[in-house]
Amino acid sequence: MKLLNKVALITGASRGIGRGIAEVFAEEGADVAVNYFASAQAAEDVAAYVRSKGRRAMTVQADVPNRAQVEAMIGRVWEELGPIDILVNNAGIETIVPFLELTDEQWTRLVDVNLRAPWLVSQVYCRRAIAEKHQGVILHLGSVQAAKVLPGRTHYAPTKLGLEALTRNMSVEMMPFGIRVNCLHPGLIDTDMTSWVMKNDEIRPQVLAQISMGRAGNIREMGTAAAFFCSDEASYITGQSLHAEGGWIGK
Amino acid sequence: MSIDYSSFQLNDKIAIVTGPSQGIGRAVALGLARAGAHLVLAEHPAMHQDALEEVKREIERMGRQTLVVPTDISSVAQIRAMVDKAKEVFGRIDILVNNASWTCTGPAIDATEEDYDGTMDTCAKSVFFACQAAARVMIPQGGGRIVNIGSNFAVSAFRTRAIYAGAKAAVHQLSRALSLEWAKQGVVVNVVAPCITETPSRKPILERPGYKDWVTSDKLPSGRWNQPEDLVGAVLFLASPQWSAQVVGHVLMVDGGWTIH
Repeated sequence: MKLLNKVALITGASRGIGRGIAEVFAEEGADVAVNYFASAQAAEDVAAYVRSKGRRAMTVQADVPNRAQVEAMIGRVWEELGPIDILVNNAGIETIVPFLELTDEQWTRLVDVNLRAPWLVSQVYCRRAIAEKHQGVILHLGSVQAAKVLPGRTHYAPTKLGLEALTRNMSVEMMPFGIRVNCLHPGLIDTDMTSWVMKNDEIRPQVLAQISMGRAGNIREMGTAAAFFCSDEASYITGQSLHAEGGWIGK
Repeated sequence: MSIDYSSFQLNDKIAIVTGPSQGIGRAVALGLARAGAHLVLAEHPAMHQDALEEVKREIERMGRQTLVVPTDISSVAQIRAMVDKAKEVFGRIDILVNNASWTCTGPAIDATEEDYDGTMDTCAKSVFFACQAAARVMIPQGGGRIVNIGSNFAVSAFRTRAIYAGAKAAVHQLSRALSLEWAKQGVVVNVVAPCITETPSRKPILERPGYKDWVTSDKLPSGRWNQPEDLVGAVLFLASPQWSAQVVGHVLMVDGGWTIH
């Protein structure tokens, strides 16, 4: 097992890619804290799956751009599961709005969740880890859109490219403390968030034609890539952004 | 560092490693064997034969099979013959790791045509034709994984390595292009790109006065020198369809942060 007895906190883990990461982490021997924002029942289901693999699990509600809630979340997980070895900043939102129509509020909320929150959760985590002399790993969830233009994403794409820079800069500052920082860029993954693409007979073939593998990815495939990056096998890999998107053409 | 080799699920896979007798190639070959693979060892017929014999014995002690195919990778004919031999003996090829290379070093102003051709042929031309030969086996069998060893110098330019940097940049980009052509047929090509690694072939460079201190303090935020073993996890990950299914045409830097800043 790749993550035996590690303690992992995964934000936005009740659904989609976060859920896939939680499942694979549990199978690889990790205890998992499942953060969620609104989907309490779905989070409980993920926690139940983790326990079914013989690992400890907890659910923890928090709005990740909110510092007080994040501090409470990190504190609770640390207390209940022990020192956190792995932080996965997975929570994110995606909306599609043409550049000329985008409002201040739409920009601010999306950038808050997708870019400021990973920075914030990481800072709260690193301060605690460093204070307790505990080494760890952080993984940010980016997107193929860090390297690929899709319409109506003038707010979304900069947050994902921004995570690459955050990853690089954090990795250098945190290296003396033994904390690695990497980023995983998924492409089209079959989840609730992308079901509108998969269900649309006009758009689906257009999108799939851009993917070298010719198919969407699934959440488990994100879980395995994340598990490798967070394992000891990757101990010399830091500051990197790994594309796991089936080979998008033109990126 | 603890690696659970069996978790990569490479049991009874057939893997070719070029230049497997020392340094990175040796560590990768042994790592693949620990993960369960049988090894085709493609080493230059006139180089490192004692070391090759040691690697072969160590792999066989793990209960894996080996096939030694003497191969001068500057010859496309020999590369093709090596791949044919692997297919003939094992019936399939699941993994190809293009590791072997040679480079000239020195000021670009003094480089000869032989320096250029020798570097380009072993670093880039050999990789393309080995990929092509392997893909001709992998596509009909339903897929395979190719991992090419790149370099930090392909991303971050460096004095006295103009030709090598160009050759390794070619490896990075041809790997991405090949992925686009073959991914649908199940052949996935990726790159693991190290920085200068503590190996016998790099020893003379590392031992230059002041060099190691300069690099570890100025270039490597990790503050320590790359070891061949540091690359093994990344190669096994990319060699394993179970673990890196969606990773296609990616250049994974394993360089202690050299190219971050």
